[in-house]
Amino acid sequence: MEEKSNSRTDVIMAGLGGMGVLIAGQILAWAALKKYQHVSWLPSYGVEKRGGLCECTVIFSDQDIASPLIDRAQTVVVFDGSQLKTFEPRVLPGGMILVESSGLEDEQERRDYELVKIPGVEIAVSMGIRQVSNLILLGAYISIRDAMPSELIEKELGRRFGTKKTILECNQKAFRQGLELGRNAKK
Amino acid sequence: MTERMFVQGNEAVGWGALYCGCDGFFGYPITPQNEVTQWFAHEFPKRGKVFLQSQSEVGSINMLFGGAAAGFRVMTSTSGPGWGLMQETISHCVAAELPCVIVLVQRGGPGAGSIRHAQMDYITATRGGGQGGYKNIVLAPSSVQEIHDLIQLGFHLADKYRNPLVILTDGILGQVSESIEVKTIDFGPLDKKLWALRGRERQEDGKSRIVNSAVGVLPLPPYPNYISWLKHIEEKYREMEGSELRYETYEAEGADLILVAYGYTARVSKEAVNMARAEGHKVGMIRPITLWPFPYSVIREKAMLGCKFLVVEDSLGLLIDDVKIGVEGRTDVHLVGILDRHIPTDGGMIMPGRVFEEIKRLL
Repeated sequence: MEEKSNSRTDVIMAGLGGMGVLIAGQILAWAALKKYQHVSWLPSYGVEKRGGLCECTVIFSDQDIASPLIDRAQTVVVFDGSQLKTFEPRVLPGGMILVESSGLEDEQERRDYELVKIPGVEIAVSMGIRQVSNLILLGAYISIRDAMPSELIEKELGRRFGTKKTILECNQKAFRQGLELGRNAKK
Repeated sequence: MTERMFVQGNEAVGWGALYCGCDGFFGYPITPQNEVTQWFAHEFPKRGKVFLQSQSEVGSINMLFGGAAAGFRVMTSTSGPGWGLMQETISHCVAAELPCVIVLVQRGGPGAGSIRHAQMDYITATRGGGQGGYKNIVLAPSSVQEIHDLIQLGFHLADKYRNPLVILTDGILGQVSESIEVKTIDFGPLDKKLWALRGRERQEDGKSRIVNSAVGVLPLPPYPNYISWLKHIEEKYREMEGSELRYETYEAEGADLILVAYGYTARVSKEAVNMARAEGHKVGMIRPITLWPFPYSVIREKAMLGCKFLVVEDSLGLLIDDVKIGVEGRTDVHLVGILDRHIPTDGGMIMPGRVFEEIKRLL
């Protein structure tokens, strides 16, 4: 275990089945294990193999996690632009929603949180790998919210994909692009 | 040796079983417990242990009967529809005094109901779901660590009392991943299974054994007749009630309102208690860890002090009946149940905020 932290972070990641929502949450949770005593990852998804509503809640803390289910989180990352309205009620007042800008038609209804639009799909397509928009959004989340040191995610990518060089590289590239987008969004 | 892992609740079933010397798993896949079957398929054969996918849950439970009769530590896992199919043979296991562990990962019912989480098998789990009005200990974990720990306790108690034992979890606990410590827990020594069918040549006394689940039809020593055997079974049940009651209280001292919950809704309730305490409300929780035997005494104690009760369970109201038995009409018992989920689909969950709302309404 590396340096200890006393803070608690919670995030709901949401989108449609097949977009890599659950895996992005898993990468975050596994990375958090290196720093936090208590970590939970709770998935929720329907019977559809692709395209059904899908979410996971990730919590990491050095205090006991009373419930892995929470009504509202500090941050909600919406991986599919069309689902902003569905998940807008799930962010805490004063919190933040990071939303995929592709497919985004809904207007922000609540004014008590900050909305940040991230063109994850557009960048992934420009990279030639449509599937990695999840890592772009994860990267943006990490840098905008200072959720944890980005090296922890990099290490987790290595642990998970280390034996598959091409997959590892494109995930790393997407994650770093996301970090950069996040840094620019903060400016 | 302790190992730190990040695993799903369903996988923790396997790690707990492995670390307490389970010999064999017999099961049929069913959502939301598929990861249990998958874990055993992946981990048991390579360690020289038995994993067998049965043709149905009727097959699984009868394989348990056989494995337990031969003196092995055996288990299965299922969800609502499979649980229904197992009832007849669970009753036979009780009658033949065969220790085994059955993990029931609850989903929505009735019928095929839903493949997602719920807590709707409480009554059949705690009241002897098959024929003959039998009893079995029911352990209810509420975290991934506790799943791992209670599986081990479950095998110990099943062997100690020569009785089937049920571990009652749910689809949420099965799916959630948490960091846990995996290790062997020592619960003390157990008698040798001298009654087991191992073949005459392997018995110390060189004599054969019979495992019999129809004592009224075929009385065998040491029970000369049906009633003497029933008396023996009854004494076992009383001993379980006297020795194996387990529960946890949280912020219950001086509380005006007590929440009662098990499984995933106990986690939700704990969060709701924290929310209420942060606003100065005197709210606490009683979490039964054994659902049978049930901690009526602690419920009664709080009812006598005038505490109100709020039961939180993801069903139309089943655990609430046991709370009412404990309360004996002294005070009000309320329910936050499946109709209070955050969205009206099978993916809906009882959320801490909804429980907190009800707490504020009742105080």
